[in-house]
Amino acid sequence: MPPVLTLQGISKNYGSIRALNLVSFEVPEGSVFGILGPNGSGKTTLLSIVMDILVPTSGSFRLFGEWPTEIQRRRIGTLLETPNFYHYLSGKDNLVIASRIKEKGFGDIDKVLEIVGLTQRRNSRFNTYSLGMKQRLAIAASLIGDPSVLVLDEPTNGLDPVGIAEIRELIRQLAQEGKTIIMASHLLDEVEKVCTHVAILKTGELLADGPVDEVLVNEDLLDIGAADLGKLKEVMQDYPGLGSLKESGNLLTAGFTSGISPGEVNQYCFSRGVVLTQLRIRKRSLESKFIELISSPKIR
Amino acid sequence: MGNLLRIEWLKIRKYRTFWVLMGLFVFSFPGASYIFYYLQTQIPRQGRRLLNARHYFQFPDIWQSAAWLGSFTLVLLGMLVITLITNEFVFRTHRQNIIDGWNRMQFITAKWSMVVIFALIATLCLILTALTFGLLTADQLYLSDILESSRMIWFFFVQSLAYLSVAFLFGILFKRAGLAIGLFFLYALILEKVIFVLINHFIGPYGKFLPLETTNHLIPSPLLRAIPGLKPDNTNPYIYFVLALIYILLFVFITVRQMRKADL
Repeated sequence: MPPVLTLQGISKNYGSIRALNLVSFEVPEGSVFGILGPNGSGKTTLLSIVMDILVPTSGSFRLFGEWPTEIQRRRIGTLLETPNFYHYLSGKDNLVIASRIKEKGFGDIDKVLEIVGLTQRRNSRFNTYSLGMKQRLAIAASLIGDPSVLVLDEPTNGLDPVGIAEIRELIRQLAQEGKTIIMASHLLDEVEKVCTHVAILKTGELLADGPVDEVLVNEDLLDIGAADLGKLKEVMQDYPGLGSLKESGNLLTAGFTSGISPGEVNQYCFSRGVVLTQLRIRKRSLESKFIELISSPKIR
Repeated sequence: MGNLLRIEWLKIRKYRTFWVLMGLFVFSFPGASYIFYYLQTQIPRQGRRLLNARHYFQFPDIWQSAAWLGSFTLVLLGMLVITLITNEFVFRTHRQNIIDGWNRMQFITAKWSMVVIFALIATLCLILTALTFGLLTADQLYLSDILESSRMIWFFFVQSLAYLSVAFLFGILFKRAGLAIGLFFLYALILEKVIFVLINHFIGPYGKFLPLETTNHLIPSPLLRAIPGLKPDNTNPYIYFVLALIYILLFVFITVRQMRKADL
């Protein structure tokens, strides 16, 4: 199976501002692909280009391995940036139009309204909806016709905590059904909770992409202490598989290139005449990893 | 094509503004003729015979009278066209339609088809209005009289289409209802007249070939003939007809190019 989406050197300029710079990556089939980046990093611009809303300055992309046309777009359920609906029509009438354009039957409309919990308000005009309901309607629209691929740009925008949890659960469910989900978010937590793959964007540059557990490596650290810190440092420098070693206060913080085993470290030090007075695993949060990623210059 | 129009219909069938403006148009189109018909009946008997105003409402002149009077109500359809186009931009549904699976050409084709249908509705109003007045006021009915000026039907269709095309262009270019309607009126009522005068003064008698002037000349006021000493416009009316068609094609071309290349 070809990748669902292949980007080849996509750039987009707005006047002198470069919103995207030579972005290339692939979205494999069946993945939950997070596009992660702070506000203004080019996530929505990128997805808008894929949806033919914006025209790239240079570069090209493929959908399902084919040149993109409206035929491929009909196979993708998309929620882009803000919910776009006819304000004077009811939620249901808006979905009727979407179904027609997608050339799908109307059989799905009641079902998708039920999924997002809008059945009761289906006949109310769109402009009477709250922000969260508008977002739910947009998610409902993206589910019409049971598409194999979903593109969701900040899908939990405007939702309350319960709504956010519901949508995450929905995304997880859809992923389990084997759907490919491309999700843009500035919330690391969101990506970490549901995504299998991730691409990180910063001011239009692709910083990293790949499986989540490779890109957002959850590198644990070991805090160790001894009476003679200088000696400990000397000894630890020769430890096989040491990644990093930093002094922090009266402790040393060690990172390892492969696996962390406090027992081995303890034995190693003891055998070299250093008695550890402290030994503690410290979880490094993804958050700090993410901030490190986006605040450092290009890492690859 | 049928599917595109069906979707456009889904967009407007529950839109109150559409029904209000369309209703006003359908009501005021014959209304414009009726007002002048009524005024004409109020002229004292001797004056009426002298002016012979009644013939304006008889075949074949009624075609031109109803078309000319009705053309003033086209402004309602013009506002409707601008509203429907700019709604798409304001609600950003032009993006959504494309995201959902239209291509850009389908979007613009659907919208243009709607404009053509509005022009057809206007033409239907003309046919019904002219036939009604013509049949009610006829002293004797000759088929040849009825058909004599019926080319006005074609002229009026092209006039309506050209007029609504200008409105469409303003909607596509300015994207906000208030701005587009305001500039449309500014152009239709003032700017084109200013350019008209400037062209006639500095270049020559070509101001009448400006877009809206062209459509105005397509169906001149029937009253012009009654004014003694006024030099008639000797330009072959088919020149205006062809020029109006060229303008329509030009506006189609501009809007298509705009929609195909632009960021939405």
